Amino acid sequence: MGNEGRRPSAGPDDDAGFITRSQNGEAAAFEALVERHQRRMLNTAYRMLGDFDEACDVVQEAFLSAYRAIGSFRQEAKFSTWMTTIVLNHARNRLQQRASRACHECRSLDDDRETQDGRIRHEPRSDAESATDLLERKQRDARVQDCIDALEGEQKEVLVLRDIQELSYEEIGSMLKVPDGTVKSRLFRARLAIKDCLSEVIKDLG
Amino acid sequence: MNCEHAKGLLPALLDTALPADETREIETHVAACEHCTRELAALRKAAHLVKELPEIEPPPFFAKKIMAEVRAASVPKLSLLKRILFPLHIKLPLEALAAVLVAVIAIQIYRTVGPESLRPSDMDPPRAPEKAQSREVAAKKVEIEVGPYQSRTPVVSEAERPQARDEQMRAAVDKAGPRRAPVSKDSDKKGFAAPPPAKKAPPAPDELSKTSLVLEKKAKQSDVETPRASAGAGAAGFEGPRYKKPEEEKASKPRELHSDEIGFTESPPPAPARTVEAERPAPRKLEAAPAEPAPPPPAGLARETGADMALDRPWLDESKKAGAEEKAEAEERPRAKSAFSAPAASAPPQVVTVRVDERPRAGEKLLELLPSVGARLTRKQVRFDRDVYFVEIASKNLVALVGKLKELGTVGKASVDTAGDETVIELRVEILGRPQ
Repeated sequence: MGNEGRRPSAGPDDDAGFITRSQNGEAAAFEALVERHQRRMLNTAYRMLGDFDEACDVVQEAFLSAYRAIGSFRQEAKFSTWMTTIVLNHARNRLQQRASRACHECRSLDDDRETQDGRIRHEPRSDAESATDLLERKQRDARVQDCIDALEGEQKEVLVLRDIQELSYEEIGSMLKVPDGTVKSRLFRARLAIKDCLSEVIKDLG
Repeated sequence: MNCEHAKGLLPALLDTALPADETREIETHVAACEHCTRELAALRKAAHLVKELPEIEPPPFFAKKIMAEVRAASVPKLSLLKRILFPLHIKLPLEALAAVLVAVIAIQIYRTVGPESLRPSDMDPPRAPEKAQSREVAAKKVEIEVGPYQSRTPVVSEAERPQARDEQMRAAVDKAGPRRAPVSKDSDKKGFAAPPPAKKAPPAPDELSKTSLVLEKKAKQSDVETPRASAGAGAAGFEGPRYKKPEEEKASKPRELHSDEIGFTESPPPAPARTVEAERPAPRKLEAAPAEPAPPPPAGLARETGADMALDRPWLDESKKAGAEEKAEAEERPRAKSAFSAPAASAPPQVVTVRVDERPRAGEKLLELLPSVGARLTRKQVRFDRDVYFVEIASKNLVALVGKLKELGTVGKASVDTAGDETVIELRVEILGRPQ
């Protein structure tokens, strides 16, 4: 499944120097941290929100918050974990704002998802894929994202962190400040809900 | 394990979420259960779809954009800090403000603790001349009306007027204030204007018959004595005490003296001001006659007459009784003094300075020793750096008092003019030292 390939190459040891320098007010060092983690943070935010622009905003806000709070960051945890927590908080706020908006409309799975195309335009392309295949895949991905969007907030977080970002249960538990058992039960419910949501797609796939 | 139970745990088979034995148990059930097998297959496909979601790319220059925001957000913070810390931006206005504050405080301190001799002339010049003028005019007016030898009682009452007036002023507070001013102005301008209660003596200006005026005046007095006690704030209210006291208390001797002096009030020469007495309101009228062959005695004598003491005492007693008025009086007195000290500017204030450890204790001792030298405390001022006691003492006892003061502390400069006679003078004892 190529799990390890998704993990960023930068480890906690690599971040340590940049973090220290950032704590000393060196903006260039913080920029290096942004460069390293922006992609991962953006993906997390995007899967949480299902909206590219909002995800970009959230990541930007999250890095700003992180820069302000970098002085209080203790290097006991990984920077990525800390950063993901901040992104999740901002994403949650964004979702709450969205939910509180009266005009929020429930989108049907059958809705036209053409807006999604532009947002995943940076998707790596396989030369082997035909145009039809590409279109099919985009539609399928859009459906999957819809199903993720339809998940309840806590289940969504766990699914994104575990099945997409492939964080360990311990990391997720420390991030969300819940025990492992709770993480697992939320994850199992999320997976079952996704399976139910994607039943049609799965049928098509045979 | 039944299907229901297994179904809830099937997602655990996607990774190693459960212990090995539990996983094995579920797998055993799934192998035997077609439904659960299908479910597990669907779960795997769904999980596969999720994991296969493409990773999105950050927009171009995303990190740069973020850093621009970060820097923009942090720059104002720094500049604010700079603004606070950087000396030139904030220091100059602060310095200017500090300079102004220091100036204001200095003026305030000078006002509160500045030497008293400067106080009336510097701070209150407009009021003092006005009073003095109004009194001179009053004296003139009396002369014109009744002539030097015809009536004595009004003259005496005129001499008394300043104090009576001040009393009324206090009683009638502000109402009387505006009334007095116009009266003095009028008399200033016309010279021959009717006395303040103009309604009672309208024909005064024409001076047709002096005797009739005298009669009128006398009638006025009896008038005043009886119903005026209501002490209304009006001009009539002033008349009450002004004419009442002389009737009751004045002896014949001072009247004699006053009538003599009146003849010279027309052209008052500069007062010689022998003693502090010259500064007092009541004797001041008398002092206007020093051009006479024997000028000093009248003033001194008049000061010591029972009549004059009687003039003084009600005022002082009142000040003691009415605690609330005490301050106002303390204010009033220096002013009145200034009004009369103007012509007698050559008379230096009688001051004894005593430096002590603790002012209150020294003050108590001073009060104890005052009676032993026949002195009397008239008032007290507590100032920023000193307590000032105003004492009335016979001139001859001054040396004794100064000697006793040496027991309290170090007697500093004593600008005391010891005439050595019976003259009662006002002495200012200034006690310097810690306030507590």
